Amino acid sequence: MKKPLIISLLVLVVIVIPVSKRFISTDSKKEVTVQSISQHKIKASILASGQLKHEQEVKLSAEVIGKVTGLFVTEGDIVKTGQIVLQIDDESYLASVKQQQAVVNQHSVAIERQKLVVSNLGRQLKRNTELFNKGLLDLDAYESVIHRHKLAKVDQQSALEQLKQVNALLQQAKDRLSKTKVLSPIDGLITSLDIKQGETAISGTTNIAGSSLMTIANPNSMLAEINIDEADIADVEIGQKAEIIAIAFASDPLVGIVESIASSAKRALGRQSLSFAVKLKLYAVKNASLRPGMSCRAEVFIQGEQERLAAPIKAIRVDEDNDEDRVDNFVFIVKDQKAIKIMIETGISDDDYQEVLSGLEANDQLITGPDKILRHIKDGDQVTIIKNDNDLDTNKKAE
Amino acid sequence: MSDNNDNSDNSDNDISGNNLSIDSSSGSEAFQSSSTSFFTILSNIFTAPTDAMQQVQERYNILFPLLTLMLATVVVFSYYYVAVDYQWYIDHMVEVSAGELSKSEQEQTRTAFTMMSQTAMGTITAITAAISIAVIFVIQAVYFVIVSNITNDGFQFKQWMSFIAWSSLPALMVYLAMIVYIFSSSNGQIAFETLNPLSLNDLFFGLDATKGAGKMLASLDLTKFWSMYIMIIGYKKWTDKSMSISATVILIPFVGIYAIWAMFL
Repeated sequence: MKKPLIISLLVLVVIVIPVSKRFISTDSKKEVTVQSISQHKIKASILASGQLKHEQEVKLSAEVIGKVTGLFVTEGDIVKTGQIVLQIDDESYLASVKQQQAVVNQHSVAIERQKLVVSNLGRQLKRNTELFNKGLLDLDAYESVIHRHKLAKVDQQSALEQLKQVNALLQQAKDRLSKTKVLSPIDGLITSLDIKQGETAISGTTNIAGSSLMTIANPNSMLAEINIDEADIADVEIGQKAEIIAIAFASDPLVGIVESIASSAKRALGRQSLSFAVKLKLYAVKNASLRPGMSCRAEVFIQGEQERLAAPIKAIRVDEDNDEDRVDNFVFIVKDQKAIKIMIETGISDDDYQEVLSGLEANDQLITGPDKILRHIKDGDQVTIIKNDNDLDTNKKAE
Repeated sequence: MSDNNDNSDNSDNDISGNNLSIDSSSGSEAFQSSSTSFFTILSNIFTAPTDAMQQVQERYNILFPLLTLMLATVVVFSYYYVAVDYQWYIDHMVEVSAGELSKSEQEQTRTAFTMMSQTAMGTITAITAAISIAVIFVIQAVYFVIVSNITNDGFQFKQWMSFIAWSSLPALMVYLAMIVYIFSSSNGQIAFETLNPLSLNDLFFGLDATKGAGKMLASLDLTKFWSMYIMIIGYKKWTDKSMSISATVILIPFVGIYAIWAMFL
């Protein structure tokens, strides 16, 4: 009788220890921060991402092929319209101009010669006409002189036309020669220099090395081009305010205004859905370190400020069911030291708060964190409040 | 070996004597047999450890206690991975193993954990834990063989394996406690390192079991001390050494390991 009793007692103790730990120990209670739900001013907005760009930006490419013999700018230099920025080896193009010039001269001389021929034949025709009128010249000889005179005139006309042709070739050669000097078409900043002295510049539009020489942009024409999803584009209008945050300067937001909305949707790189390119003109850009190509995100404010019953975004959890195309929002509130899951309907939102249309009442204590707890909290879990974010919120408002 | 045989003979006599005395009170048939059943030894491990260690000497069985412990390990660890909230578990493991690393490194760790399914993780852990038990027993048995060679007590590897395996059976209580602990969890959010409710850390200290002293204390539980006690009295019984020598032989590796661990805290 002793052994079963001892074993039973042991088993009982072993069972009681974990059970008591689970139900008595305060360690099993999750420590959470809470915030009371209340009225907040919400600035409804749309979030989108994109890149900073220059509105006035030109990409210079070579129009003639040749080795770069002179590079007169470096990246970051400011240039003026018409300023020479790059020189391509012009030796062969200069020779071509000289050659064409010689051909033109040759043709000019040929025209002079032909003029003399025409003049001479003209005089012959005059004499032969007098002789023919007096009956001293037969018809055949007279018509032969007329024919030769006319032929000489035609040859002269032909020579003149040939002169025009070689003149045009000369102009082409001169034009190619002029293109060996690359000039800046705008006042601006060299934002990208893609070629070095000694490399060969290649003409054409193909995206191969040497085809692009440099990019010149007007630094005062910076804008943000963002891609707004087609589902949100209906709310976006020209003139709406926006806040733009360059990823590199996250603490220094920029102010912008919707300047243009693309008329057709495109599939942006890395996205599955269609989106519209929206250009945001930047105002009061003080940060000189902003560079084109920088990633940015923008918040376009589609409505004015509105006072609504709102929950902190961080407290709202989302349950998605892709099969049924259903998205449910829910929050956890604290009641009797327990986390209670409440399904809610949401409305407009901004960075911090989202309007709650139904499911909650004012002053409900929402669990707002910590995230590692909130991420896994379940309905009915025991919780202990360690911090009330209302105090923090009040301080923020006071500031 | 003659010593060993003598011991066996003595123990047989002792067992029959004990059996008679127990039998008179319990009336169980198991105790009337000269070859004591495994379940009798198992119950004696918890109620009469001195008798149990004598009974172990009858056959030096290894498979029953070893397989029992391995099976219990597989069952408990499999149950843990079935019951645990796996997303929470991954988050917790990332925090424990990569909490001080950069965000990207944490994401890499998370991806590595996520690559393995809950079932695969449970299966691998359960099997690995079960195999580790056998490996640890072998290491311990090798230690006792070395001691036997020094003291010339005549015991060999198989006998020490049996000694260790039987004296480790109190760990079954830990497994029972673990099952109850997992079963009583409402959300499955149980950290692996706090799974043992009988650990010193859980019972008395409540330190962070993922590092430092908390980790060391979490690896110690009441049944380990119980096992050590059984080993000490078993060693004394088997070798006829004094209590102090038996305690020294048994405790040296244990104290050594934990002393080195404590030095690196």
